[in-house]
Amino acid sequence: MGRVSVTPPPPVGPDHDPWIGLEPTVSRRYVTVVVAALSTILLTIVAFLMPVPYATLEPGPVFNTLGEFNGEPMLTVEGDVQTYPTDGALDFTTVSVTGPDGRLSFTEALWAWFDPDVKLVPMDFLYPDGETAEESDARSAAQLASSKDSSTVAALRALDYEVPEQVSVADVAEDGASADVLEAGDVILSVDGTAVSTPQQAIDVVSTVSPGDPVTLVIDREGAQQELSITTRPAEEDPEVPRIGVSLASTFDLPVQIDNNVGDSVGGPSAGTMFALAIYDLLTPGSLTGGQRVAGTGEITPDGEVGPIGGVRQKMAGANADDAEVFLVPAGNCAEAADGDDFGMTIVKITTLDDAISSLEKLAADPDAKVPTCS
Amino acid sequence: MSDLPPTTDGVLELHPDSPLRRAALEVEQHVAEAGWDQPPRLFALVRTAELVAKQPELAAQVGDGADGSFTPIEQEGVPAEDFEDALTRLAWPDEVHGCAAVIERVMLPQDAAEDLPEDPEAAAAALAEHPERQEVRLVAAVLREGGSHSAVRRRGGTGEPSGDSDLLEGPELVPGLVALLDQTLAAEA
Repeated sequence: MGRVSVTPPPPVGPDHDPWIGLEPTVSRRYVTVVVAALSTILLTIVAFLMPVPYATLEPGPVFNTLGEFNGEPMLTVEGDVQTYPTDGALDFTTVSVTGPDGRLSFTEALWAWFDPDVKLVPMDFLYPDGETAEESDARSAAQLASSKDSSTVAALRALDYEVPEQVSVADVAEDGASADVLEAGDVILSVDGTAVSTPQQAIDVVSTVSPGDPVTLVIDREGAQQELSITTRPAEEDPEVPRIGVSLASTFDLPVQIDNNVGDSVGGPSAGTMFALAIYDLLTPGSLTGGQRVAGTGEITPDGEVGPIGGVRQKMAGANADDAEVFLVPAGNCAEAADGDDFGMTIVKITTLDDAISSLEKLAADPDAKVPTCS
Repeated sequence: MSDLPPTTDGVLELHPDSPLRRAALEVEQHVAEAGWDQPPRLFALVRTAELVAKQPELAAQVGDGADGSFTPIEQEGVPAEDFEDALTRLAWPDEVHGCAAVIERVMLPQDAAEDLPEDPEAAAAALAEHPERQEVRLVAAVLREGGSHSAVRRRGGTGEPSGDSDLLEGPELVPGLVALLDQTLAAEA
Protein backbone atom coordinates (compact mmCIF):
# COMPACT_ATOMS: atom_id res chain seq x y z
CA MET A 1 0.00 0.00 0.00
CA GLY A 2 1.39 3.36 -1.00
CA ARG A 3 1.24 5.04 2.34
CA VAL A 4 2.08 8.70 2.53
CA SER A 5 3.36 9.95 5.83
CA VAL A 6 2.21 13.35 6.84
CA THR A 7 2.26 15.30 10.05
CA PRO A 8 -1.01 15.20 12.02
CA PRO A 9 -4.05 15.84 9.85
CA PRO A 10 -4.77 19.16 11.49
CA PRO A 11 -2.26 21.77 10.41
CA VAL A 12 0.60 21.97 12.86
CA GLY A 13 1.88 25.41 12.01
CA PRO A 14 4.44 26.69 9.55
CA ASP A 15 7.45 26.09 11.75
CA HIS A 16 6.35 22.53 12.43
CA ASP A 17 5.95 23.29 16.10
CA PRO A 18 3.68 20.60 17.44
CA TRP A 19 2.36 22.81 20.20
CA ILE A 20 0.79 25.29 17.85
CA GLY A 21 -2.80 24.49 17.23
CA LEU A 22 -2.81 21.84 19.91
CA GLU A 23 -4.61 22.48 23.12
CA PRO A 24 -4.72 20.39 26.25
CA THR A 25 -8.06 18.66 26.49
CA VAL A 26 -8.69 20.06 29.91
CA SER A 27 -9.37 23.50 28.52
CA ARG A 28 -11.49 22.56 25.56
CA ARG A 29 -15.21 22.75 25.05
CA TYR A 30 -16.70 20.29 22.66
CA VAL A 31 -19.58 20.35 20.33
CA THR A 32 -21.35 17.09 19.86
CA VAL A 33 -21.69 16.33 16.22
CA VAL A 34 -24.32 13.95 15.04
CA VAL A 35 -22.57 11.80 12.56
CA ALA A 36 -24.04 10.50 9.39
CA ALA A 37 -25.38 7.12 10.42
CA LEU A 38 -23.57 5.24 7.71
CA SER A 39 -20.07 6.23 8.66
CA THR A 40 -20.51 5.32 12.31
CA ILE A 41 -22.00 1.94 11.87
CA LEU A 42 -19.94 0.44 9.11
CA LEU A 43 -18.10 -2.40 10.70
CA THR A 44 -14.45 -2.95 10.18
CA ILE A 45 -15.05 -6.64 10.44
CA VAL A 46 -11.46 -7.71 9.98
CA ALA A 47 -10.22 -5.67 12.92
CA PHE A 48 -12.90 -7.10 15.16
CA LEU A 49 -12.05 -10.67 14.28
CA MET A 50 -8.47 -10.27 15.42
CA PRO A 51 -7.88 -12.38 18.51
CA VAL A 52 -7.53 -10.54 21.80
CA PRO A 53 -5.43 -11.93 24.68
CA TYR A 54 -8.40 -12.39 26.94
CA ALA A 55 -10.11 -15.37 28.50
CA THR A 56 -13.61 -15.96 29.77
CA LEU A 57 -14.76 -17.50 33.02
CA GLU A 58 -18.16 -19.05 32.67
CA PRO A 59 -20.38 -20.97 35.07
CA GLY A 60 -19.26 -24.59 35.08
CA PRO A 61 -21.00 -27.75 36.27
CA VAL A 62 -21.49 -28.57 39.94
CA PHE A 63 -20.66 -31.89 41.57
CA ASN A 64 -22.38 -33.25 44.67
CA THR A 65 -19.70 -34.34 47.14
CA LEU A 66 -22.33 -36.58 48.79
CA GLY A 67 -23.09 -38.19 45.43
CA GLU A 68 -21.16 -39.87 42.67
CA PHE A 69 -18.32 -38.84 40.41
CA ASN A 70 -17.80 -40.83 37.20
CA GLY A 71 -20.32 -43.42 38.41
CA GLU A 72 -18.61 -44.12 41.76
CA PRO A 73 -19.26 -42.60 45.16
CA MET A 74 -17.15 -39.42 45.24
CA LEU A 75 -16.05 -39.94 48.83
CA THR A 76 -15.63 -43.29 50.51
CA VAL A 77 -14.63 -43.74 54.15
CA GLU A 78 -12.27 -46.70 54.27
CA GLY A 79 -11.82 -49.25 57.02
CA ASP A 80 -14.00 -50.12 59.96
CA VAL A 81 -15.37 -46.68 60.73
CA GLN A 82 -19.00 -45.87 61.49
CA THR A 83 -20.60 -43.72 58.75
CA TYR A 84 -24.09 -42.26 58.59
CA PRO A 85 -26.62 -41.67 55.82
CA THR A 86 -26.69 -38.19 54.30
CA ASP A 87 -29.43 -36.15 52.67
CA GLY A 88 -29.64 -33.19 50.33
CA ALA A 89 -26.49 -32.13 48.51
CA LEU A 90 -23.14 -30.47 49.20
CA ASP A 91 -22.17 -29.29 45.74
CA PHE A 92 -18.74 -28.08 44.86
CA THR A 93 -18.90 -25.57 42.06
CA THR A 94 -16.65 -24.94 39.08
CA VAL A 95 -15.94 -22.39 36.41
CA SER A 96 -15.25 -23.16 32.78
CA VAL A 97 -12.30 -21.15 31.55
CA THR A 98 -10.73 -20.47 28.19
CA GLY A 99 -7.59 -22.59 27.93
CA PRO A 100 -4.18 -20.97 27.38
CA ASP A 101 -4.42 -21.82 23.68
CA GLY A 102 -7.89 -20.34 23.30
CA ARG A 103 -8.41 -17.35 21.03
CA LEU A 104 -11.30 -14.96 21.57
CA SER A 105 -12.14 -12.37 18.96
CA PHE A 106 -12.88 -8.85 20.10
CA THR A 107 -16.54 -9.44 19.36
CA GLU A 108 -16.63 -12.61 21.42
CA ALA A 109 -14.84 -10.83 24.23
CA LEU A 110 -17.34 -8.00 24.08
CA TRP A 111 -20.35 -10.27 24.32
CA ALA A 112 -18.76 -12.15 27.18
CA TRP A 113 -18.42 -8.82 28.95
CA PHE A 114 -22.09 -8.00 28.34
CA ASP A 115 -23.12 -11.29 29.98
CA PRO A 116 -23.43 -10.75 33.73
CA ASP A 117 -22.64 -14.42 34.43
CA VAL A 118 -19.41 -14.38 32.43
CA LYS A 119 -16.20 -12.69 33.48
CA LEU A 120 -13.65 -11.46 31.00
CA VAL A 121 -10.02 -11.32 32.17
CA PRO A 122 -6.64 -10.84 30.51
CA MET A 123 -5.14 -14.19 29.51
CA ASP A 124 -2.01 -13.69 31.60
CA PHE A 125 -4.21 -13.26 34.66
CA LEU A 126 -5.11 -16.95 34.36
CA TYR A 127 -1.87 -18.18 32.82
CA PRO A 128 0.97 -16.06 34.19
CA ASP A 129 4.29 -16.05 32.35
CA GLY A 130 2.86 -17.75 29.30
CA GLU A 131 1.98 -20.92 31.16
CA THR A 132 1.16 -23.73 28.72
CA ALA A 133 -1.90 -25.95 28.82
CA GLU A 134 0.24 -28.80 30.12
CA GLU A 135 1.77 -26.73 32.91
CA SER A 136 -1.58 -25.31 33.82
CA ASP A 137 -3.14 -28.79 34.01
CA ALA A 138 -0.27 -30.06 36.16
CA ARG A 139 -0.59 -27.11 38.55
CA SER A 140 -4.33 -27.57 38.71
CA ALA A 141 -4.05 -31.33 39.38
CA ALA A 142 -1.48 -30.77 42.14
CA GLN A 143 -3.78 -28.22 43.78
CA LEU A 144 -6.68 -30.67 43.64
CA ALA A 145 -4.59 -33.43 45.20
CA SER A 146 -3.47 -31.13 47.95
CA SER A 147 -7.06 -30.01 48.60
CA LYS A 148 -8.11 -33.64 49.08
CA ASP A 149 -5.48 -34.15 51.78
CA SER A 150 -6.17 -30.83 53.48
CA SER A 151 -9.93 -31.40 53.49
CA THR A 152 -9.54 -34.85 55.06
CA VAL A 153 -7.28 -33.50 57.81
CA ALA A 154 -9.54 -30.50 58.43
CA ALA A 155 -12.67 -32.69 58.68
CA LEU A 156 -11.02 -35.19 61.00
CA ARG A 157 -9.72 -32.41 63.23
CA ALA A 158 -13.20 -30.85 63.33
CA LEU A 159 -14.36 -34.25 64.58
CA ASP A 160 -11.70 -34.09 67.32
CA TYR A 161 -9.52 -36.81 65.85
CA GLU A 162 -5.84 -36.47 66.66
CA VAL A 163 -4.08 -36.09 63.29
CA PRO A 164 -0.32 -36.14 63.84
CA GLU A 165 1.61 -33.90 61.46
CA GLN A 166 5.24 -33.99 60.41
CA VAL A 167 7.25 -31.77 58.17
CA SER A 168 9.09 -33.39 55.31
CA VAL A 169 11.29 -32.32 52.44
CA ALA A 170 9.29 -32.11 49.23
CA ASP A 171 12.07 -31.01 46.93
CA VAL A 172 15.75 -30.07 47.16
CA ALA A 173 17.04 -27.22 45.00
CA GLU A 174 19.92 -28.31 42.77
CA ASP A 175 22.95 -26.21 43.69
CA GLY A 176 21.10 -25.03 46.82
CA ALA A 177 22.38 -25.13 50.40
CA SER A 178 20.98 -28.62 50.96
CA ALA A 179 22.01 -30.24 47.67
CA ASP A 180 23.62 -33.64 48.37
CA VAL A 181 22.68 -33.28 52.06
CA LEU A 182 18.91 -33.56 52.25
CA GLU A 183 16.72 -35.77 50.10
CA ALA A 184 13.08 -35.52 49.12
CA GLY A 185 11.10 -37.55 51.65
CA ASP A 186 13.35 -36.80 54.63
CA VAL A 187 11.25 -36.02 57.69
CA ILE A 188 12.58 -33.05 59.66
CA LEU A 189 12.24 -33.72 63.38
CA SER A 190 14.04 -30.71 64.79
CA VAL A 191 15.95 -27.59 63.77
CA ASP A 192 18.71 -26.36 66.10
CA GLY A 193 17.26 -28.43 68.92
CA THR A 194 13.67 -27.17 68.50
CA ALA A 195 11.19 -29.88 67.62
CA VAL A 196 9.16 -28.99 64.52
CA SER A 197 5.99 -30.55 63.14
CA THR A 198 4.86 -28.03 60.50
CA PRO A 199 6.67 -26.34 57.62
CA GLN A 200 6.06 -22.95 59.22
CA GLN A 201 7.73 -24.01 62.48
CA ALA A 202 10.81 -25.18 60.55
CA ILE A 203 10.93 -21.96 58.54
CA ASP A 204 10.57 -19.89 61.71
CA VAL A 205 13.58 -21.52 63.36
CA VAL A 206 15.75 -21.29 60.25
CA SER A 207 14.81 -17.60 59.96
CA THR A 208 16.45 -16.81 63.31
CA VAL A 209 20.00 -17.44 62.06
CA SER A 210 22.08 -15.10 59.92
CA PRO A 211 22.52 -16.10 56.27
CA GLY A 212 25.79 -18.01 56.06
CA ASP A 213 25.46 -19.52 59.52
CA PRO A 214 24.83 -23.24 59.90
CA VAL A 215 21.68 -24.90 61.22
CA THR A 216 21.54 -28.39 62.67
CA LEU A 217 18.72 -30.64 61.53
CA VAL A 218 17.66 -33.95 62.98
CA ILE A 219 15.94 -35.93 60.28
CA ASP A 220 14.35 -39.31 59.81
CA ARG A 221 15.42 -40.95 56.57
CA GLU A 222 13.77 -44.31 55.92
CA GLY A 223 13.39 -44.99 59.62
CA ALA A 224 16.90 -43.98 60.67
CA GLN A 225 17.60 -40.73 62.52
CA GLN A 226 20.52 -38.56 61.41
CA GLU A 227 21.92 -35.24 62.53
CA LEU A 228 22.99 -32.97 59.68
CA SER A 229 24.52 -29.52 59.49
CA ILE A 230 23.50 -27.21 56.67
CA THR A 231 25.08 -23.83 55.95
CA THR A 232 22.32 -21.35 55.19
CA ARG A 233 22.55 -19.03 52.20
CA PRO A 234 21.04 -15.61 51.63
CA ALA A 235 17.75 -15.67 49.73
CA GLU A 236 17.99 -14.34 46.17
CA GLU A 237 15.17 -11.86 46.65
CA ASP A 238 16.36 -10.68 50.09
CA PRO A 239 19.97 -11.18 51.27
CA GLU A 240 18.88 -10.74 54.89
CA VAL A 241 16.78 -13.89 54.75
CA PRO A 242 18.52 -17.27 55.30
CA ARG A 243 17.56 -20.22 53.09
CA ILE A 244 18.38 -23.92 53.15
CA GLY A 245 17.22 -24.52 49.57
CA VAL A 246 14.39 -26.97 50.07
CA SER A 247 10.62 -26.89 49.71
CA LEU A 248 8.73 -28.39 52.61
CA ALA A 249 5.50 -30.32 52.85
CA SER A 250 3.27 -31.52 55.66
CA THR A 251 2.85 -35.23 56.11
CA PHE A 252 -0.17 -36.40 58.06
CA ASP A 253 -0.76 -39.68 59.79
CA LEU A 254 -4.46 -40.13 59.06
CA PRO A 255 -6.50 -42.08 61.64
CA VAL A 256 -9.23 -42.51 59.01
CA GLN A 257 -8.59 -42.92 55.30
CA ILE A 258 -10.90 -41.23 52.80
CA ASP A 259 -10.93 -42.25 49.17
CA ASN A 260 -11.72 -39.20 47.02
CA ASN A 261 -12.10 -40.08 43.35
CA VAL A 262 -12.47 -36.60 41.84
CA GLY A 263 -10.00 -36.02 39.06
CA ASP A 264 -9.29 -35.63 35.37
CA SER A 265 -11.75 -33.01 34.21
CA VAL A 266 -11.65 -31.05 37.46
CA GLY A 267 -8.69 -29.28 39.01
CA GLY A 268 -7.66 -26.60 41.44
CA PRO A 269 -7.94 -26.14 45.19
CA SER A 270 -11.38 -24.61 45.57
CA ALA A 271 -13.40 -27.78 46.24
CA GLY A 272 -11.52 -28.30 49.53
CA THR A 273 -14.12 -26.81 51.84
CA MET A 274 -16.97 -28.79 50.28
CA PHE A 275 -14.94 -32.03 50.49
CA ALA A 276 -14.33 -31.36 54.18
CA LEU A 277 -18.03 -30.69 54.86
CA ALA A 278 -19.01 -33.91 53.10
CA ILE A 279 -16.47 -35.97 55.07
CA TYR A 280 -17.76 -34.40 58.28
CA ASP A 281 -21.35 -35.16 57.25
CA LEU A 282 -20.52 -38.80 56.45
CA LEU A 283 -18.89 -39.29 59.85
CA THR A 284 -21.59 -37.62 61.97
CA PRO A 285 -25.17 -38.75 62.69
CA GLY A 286 -27.94 -36.73 61.07
CA SER A 287 -27.87 -34.67 57.90
CA LEU A 288 -25.70 -31.56 57.83
CA THR A 289 -27.81 -30.12 55.02
CA GLY A 290 -31.22 -30.87 56.55
CA GLY A 291 -32.12 -32.13 53.07
CA GLN A 292 -31.36 -28.82 51.38
CA ARG A 293 -29.29 -28.39 48.27
CA VAL A 294 -26.17 -26.61 49.53
CA ALA A 295 -23.46 -25.42 47.16
CA GLY A 296 -20.24 -23.59 47.84
CA THR A 297 -16.60 -23.04 47.24
CA GLY A 298 -13.39 -22.31 49.12
CA GLU A 299 -9.89 -23.52 49.65
CA ILE A 300 -9.20 -25.16 52.99
CA THR A 301 -6.11 -25.59 55.12
CA PRO A 302 -5.50 -28.65 57.29
CA ASP A 303 -6.41 -26.41 60.24
CA GLY A 304 -9.81 -25.68 58.74
CA GLU A 305 -9.20 -22.10 57.62
CA VAL A 306 -11.23 -21.28 54.51
CA GLY A 307 -9.37 -19.31 51.83
CA PRO A 308 -10.65 -17.15 48.95
CA ILE A 309 -10.96 -18.48 45.42
CA GLY A 310 -11.58 -17.10 41.93
CA GLY A 311 -14.72 -16.95 39.84
CA VAL A 312 -17.19 -16.75 42.71
CA ARG A 313 -19.90 -15.05 40.60
CA GLN A 314 -19.65 -17.75 37.94
CA LYS A 315 -19.81 -20.44 40.62
CA MET A 316 -22.94 -18.84 42.07
CA ALA A 317 -24.57 -18.86 38.64
CA GLY A 318 -23.60 -22.52 38.23
CA ALA A 319 -25.03 -23.38 41.66
CA ASN A 320 -28.25 -21.59 40.78
CA ALA A 321 -28.53 -23.55 37.53
CA ASP A 322 -28.53 -26.64 39.74
CA ASP A 323 -31.21 -25.18 42.07
CA ALA A 324 -29.04 -24.68 45.15
CA GLU A 325 -30.76 -23.02 48.09
CA VAL A 326 -27.67 -22.15 50.11
CA PHE A 327 -24.28 -20.99 48.80
CA LEU A 328 -21.16 -20.93 50.97
CA VAL A 329 -18.70 -18.13 50.19
CA PRO A 330 -15.22 -17.59 51.67
CA ALA A 331 -15.22 -14.33 53.63
CA GLY A 332 -12.52 -12.99 51.29
CA ASN A 333 -14.89 -13.31 48.32
CA CYS A 334 -17.94 -11.85 50.05
CA ALA A 335 -17.79 -8.41 48.43
CA GLU A 336 -17.62 -9.91 44.95
CA ALA A 337 -20.39 -12.40 45.78
CA ALA A 338 -22.69 -9.64 47.01
CA ASP A 339 -22.10 -7.56 43.87
CA GLY A 340 -24.98 -8.84 41.76
CA ASP A 341 -27.91 -11.22 41.78
CA ASP A 342 -28.07 -13.66 44.72
CA PHE A 343 -30.32 -15.94 42.60
CA GLY A 344 -32.59 -16.34 45.63
CA MET A 345 -29.90 -18.33 47.47
CA THR A 346 -28.83 -17.69 51.06
CA ILE A 347 -25.25 -16.47 50.62
CA VAL A 348 -23.44 -17.68 53.74
CA LYS A 349 -20.10 -16.16 54.70
CA ILE A 350 -17.58 -18.71 55.99
CA THR A 351 -14.12 -18.23 57.47
CA THR A 352 -13.47 -21.66 58.98
CA LEU A 353 -14.79 -25.17 58.59
CA ASP A 354 -16.23 -24.94 62.11
CA ASP A 355 -18.34 -21.90 61.33
CA ALA A 356 -19.48 -23.41 58.03
CA ILE A 357 -20.65 -26.47 59.98
CA SER A 358 -22.33 -24.30 62.59
CA SER A 359 -24.17 -22.22 59.95
CA LEU A 360 -25.32 -25.34 58.09
CA GLU A 361 -26.58 -26.92 61.31
CA LYS A 362 -28.65 -23.81 62.03
CA LEU A 363 -30.02 -23.70 58.49
CA ALA A 364 -30.81 -27.42 58.61
CA ALA A 365 -32.93 -26.82 61.70
CA ASP A 366 -34.52 -23.66 60.32
CA PRO A 367 -33.97 -22.45 56.73
CA ASP A 368 -34.64 -18.90 57.93
CA ALA A 369 -32.14 -19.06 60.79
CA LYS A 370 -29.83 -16.11 61.25
CA VAL A 371 -26.32 -16.97 60.00
CA PRO A 372 -23.42 -14.78 58.82
CA THR A 373 -24.11 -13.71 55.25
CA CYS A 374 -22.39 -11.61 52.62
CA SER A 375 -25.20 -9.08 52.31
CA MET B 1 -12.92 -26.56 34.47
CA SER B 2 -10.24 -25.29 36.65
CA ASP B 3 -9.46 -22.91 39.38
CA LEU B 4 -8.35 -19.36 39.28
CA PRO B 5 -6.30 -17.01 41.28
CA PRO B 6 -8.43 -15.18 43.82
CA THR B 7 -9.81 -11.95 42.46
CA THR B 8 -10.17 -10.29 45.81
CA ASP B 9 -8.95 -6.73 45.89
CA GLY B 10 -5.32 -6.59 46.82
CA VAL B 11 -4.64 -10.20 45.97
CA LEU B 12 -4.13 -9.64 42.28
CA GLU B 13 -4.32 -6.27 40.56
CA LEU B 14 -6.08 -6.65 37.21
CA HIS B 15 -4.93 -3.34 35.80
CA PRO B 16 -1.66 -2.09 37.24
CA ASP B 17 -1.70 1.67 37.21
CA SER B 18 0.51 3.50 34.72
CA PRO B 19 0.68 6.97 33.18
CA LEU B 20 -0.56 5.51 29.88
CA ARG B 21 -3.54 3.90 31.53
CA ARG B 22 -4.39 7.15 33.29
CA ALA B 23 -4.14 9.02 29.98
CA ALA B 24 -6.40 6.50 28.24
CA LEU B 25 -8.99 6.74 31.00
CA GLU B 26 -8.76 10.52 31.03
CA VAL B 27 -9.44 10.62 27.31
CA GLU B 28 -12.32 8.19 27.73
CA GLN B 29 -13.80 10.20 30.56
CA HIS B 30 -13.40 13.43 28.66
CA VAL B 31 -15.08 12.10 25.53
CA ALA B 32 -17.81 10.38 27.58
CA GLU B 33 -18.80 13.71 29.09
CA ALA B 34 -19.90 14.89 25.65
CA GLY B 35 -22.25 11.95 25.27
CA TRP B 36 -22.86 9.61 22.39
CA ASP B 37 -23.14 10.00 18.61
CA GLN B 38 -19.80 11.69 18.27
CA PRO B 39 -17.37 11.55 15.36
CA PRO B 40 -14.02 9.82 15.85
CA ARG B 41 -11.62 11.77 18.02
CA LEU B 42 -7.87 11.76 18.00
CA PHE B 43 -5.43 12.88 20.66
CA ALA B 44 -1.71 13.37 20.76
CA LEU B 45 -0.12 12.27 24.03
CA VAL B 46 2.79 14.39 25.17
CA ARG B 47 4.80 14.13 28.33
CA THR B 48 3.32 16.71 30.64
CA ALA B 49 6.77 17.63 31.96
CA GLU B 50 8.00 18.48 28.45
CA LEU B 51 4.83 20.35 27.60
CA VAL B 52 5.10 22.48 30.73
CA ALA B 53 8.80 23.14 30.13
CA LYS B 54 7.81 24.63 26.77
CA GLN B 55 4.62 26.32 27.86
CA PRO B 56 4.90 27.02 31.60
CA GLU B 57 1.55 28.81 31.63
CA LEU B 58 -0.15 25.41 31.16
CA ALA B 59 1.17 24.10 34.49
CA ALA B 60 -1.92 25.30 36.32
CA GLN B 61 -4.10 23.18 34.05
CA VAL B 62 -2.05 20.08 33.48
CA GLY B 63 0.23 19.87 36.53
CA ASP B 64 4.00 19.61 36.47
CA GLY B 65 4.16 16.08 35.10
CA ALA B 66 6.50 14.92 37.85
CA ASP B 67 4.46 11.71 38.06
CA GLY B 68 5.41 10.85 34.46
CA SER B 69 1.93 11.74 33.24
CA PHE B 70 0.91 12.42 29.66
CA THR B 71 -1.31 15.27 28.57
CA PRO B 72 -3.79 14.39 25.83
CA ILE B 73 -4.02 17.07 23.17
CA GLU B 74 -7.01 16.88 20.91
CA GLN B 75 -6.40 17.04 17.17
CA GLU B 76 -8.81 19.08 15.13
CA GLY B 77 -10.02 18.36 11.66
CA VAL B 78 -10.19 14.62 12.15
CA PRO B 79 -12.14 13.14 9.26
CA ALA B 80 -15.40 11.66 10.48
CA GLU B 81 -15.57 9.28 7.58
CA ASP B 82 -12.89 6.76 6.71
CA PHE B 83 -11.18 7.48 10.01
CA GLU B 84 -9.18 4.25 10.02
CA ASP B 85 -8.04 4.93 6.50
CA ALA B 86 -6.98 8.42 7.52
CA LEU B 87 -4.93 6.93 10.34
CA THR B 88 -2.89 4.97 7.84
CA ARG B 89 -1.75 8.27 6.29
CA LEU B 90 -0.91 9.92 9.57
CA ALA B 91 2.44 10.49 11.24
CA TRP B 92 3.46 12.46 14.28
CA PRO B 93 6.34 14.80 15.00
CA ASP B 94 8.98 13.60 17.46
CA GLU B 95 7.60 15.78 20.24
CA VAL B 96 4.54 13.54 20.39
CA HIS B 97 5.17 10.52 22.61
CA GLY B 98 1.99 8.67 21.97
CA CYS B 99 -1.55 8.99 20.75
CA ALA B 100 -5.07 7.96 21.54
CA ALA B 101 -8.16 7.51 19.41
CA VAL B 102 -11.82 7.21 20.26
CA ILE B 103 -14.35 5.74 17.88
CA GLU B 104 -17.96 4.67 18.26
CA ARG B 105 -19.07 1.44 16.72
CA VAL B 106 -22.21 -0.59 16.46
CA MET B 107 -21.43 -4.20 17.14
CA LEU B 108 -23.22 -7.46 16.55
CA PRO B 109 -22.48 -10.89 17.98
CA GLN B 110 -19.97 -12.65 15.77
CA ASP B 111 -22.36 -15.04 14.03
CA ALA B 112 -24.91 -12.27 13.41
CA ALA B 113 -22.21 -10.01 11.96
CA GLU B 114 -21.19 -12.75 9.56
CA ASP B 115 -24.78 -12.92 8.29
CA LEU B 116 -24.95 -9.25 7.29
CA PRO B 117 -25.41 -8.50 3.60
CA GLU B 118 -22.29 -7.68 1.62
CA ASP B 119 -23.62 -4.42 0.26
CA PRO B 120 -22.55 -1.66 2.66
CA GLU B 121 -25.82 0.22 2.59
CA ALA B 122 -27.90 -2.90 3.02
CA ALA B 123 -25.57 -3.99 5.82
CA ALA B 124 -25.92 -0.63 7.54
CA ALA B 125 -29.70 -0.78 7.28
CA ALA B 126 -29.79 -4.34 8.64
CA LEU B 127 -27.45 -3.34 11.45
CA ALA B 128 -29.54 -0.34 12.44
CA GLU B 129 -32.58 -2.60 12.87
CA HIS B 130 -30.80 -5.54 14.44
CA PRO B 131 -32.23 -6.54 17.85
CA GLU B 132 -28.82 -7.65 19.14
CA ARG B 133 -26.95 -4.50 18.17
CA GLN B 134 -24.79 -2.93 20.84
CA GLU B 135 -23.19 0.47 20.65
CA VAL B 136 -19.74 0.84 22.07
CA ARG B 137 -17.10 3.51 22.31
CA LEU B 138 -13.61 2.17 21.73
CA VAL B 139 -10.62 3.93 23.19
CA ALA B 140 -7.03 2.97 22.46
CA ALA B 141 -3.89 4.72 23.65
CA VAL B 142 -0.39 3.74 22.57
CA LEU B 143 3.10 4.97 23.25
CA ARG B 144 5.97 5.43 20.82
CA GLU B 145 8.17 3.51 23.26
CA GLY B 146 5.69 0.63 23.21
CA GLY B 147 2.73 -0.33 25.31
CA SER B 148 -0.98 0.17 24.90
CA HIS B 149 -4.07 0.52 26.97
CA SER B 150 -7.62 0.29 25.76
CA ALA B 151 -11.10 0.77 27.05
CA VAL B 152 -14.57 0.00 25.82
CA ARG B 153 -17.67 1.81 27.01
CA ARG B 154 -21.07 0.31 26.41
CA ARG B 155 -23.99 2.51 25.52
CA GLY B 156 -27.21 2.13 27.45
CA GLY B 157 -25.79 0.86 30.72
CA THR B 158 -26.27 2.90 33.84
CA GLY B 159 -25.67 6.07 31.83
CA GLU B 160 -23.19 7.32 34.37
CA PRO B 161 -19.98 8.43 32.69
CA SER B 162 -18.07 7.02 35.63
CA GLY B 163 -20.21 3.91 35.95
CA ASP B 164 -17.43 1.39 35.87
CA SER B 165 -19.71 -1.53 35.15
CA ASP B 166 -20.17 -0.01 31.69
CA LEU B 167 -16.45 0.35 31.13
CA LEU B 168 -14.13 -2.47 30.16
CA GLU B 169 -10.42 -1.78 30.13
CA GLY B 170 -7.18 -3.60 29.61
CA PRO B 171 -4.17 -3.97 27.35
CA GLU B 172 -4.67 -5.09 23.77
CA LEU B 173 -8.47 -5.12 23.94
CA VAL B 174 -8.82 -3.41 20.56
CA PRO B 175 -5.85 -4.81 18.66
CA GLY B 176 -6.97 -3.44 15.28
CA LEU B 177 -7.10 0.13 16.51
CA VAL B 178 -3.91 -0.28 18.53
CA ALA B 179 -2.10 -1.55 15.43
CA LEU B 180 -3.27 1.46 13.41
CA LEU B 181 -2.13 3.87 16.10
CA ASP B 182 1.22 2.11 16.44
CA GLN B 183 1.73 2.63 12.70
CA THR B 184 1.19 6.37 13.01
CA LEU B 185 3.98 6.53 15.56
CA ALA B 186 6.34 4.35 13.55
CA ALA B 187 5.92 6.52 10.44
CA GLU B 188 8.40 9.29 9.77
CA ALA B 189 6.87 12.69 10.24
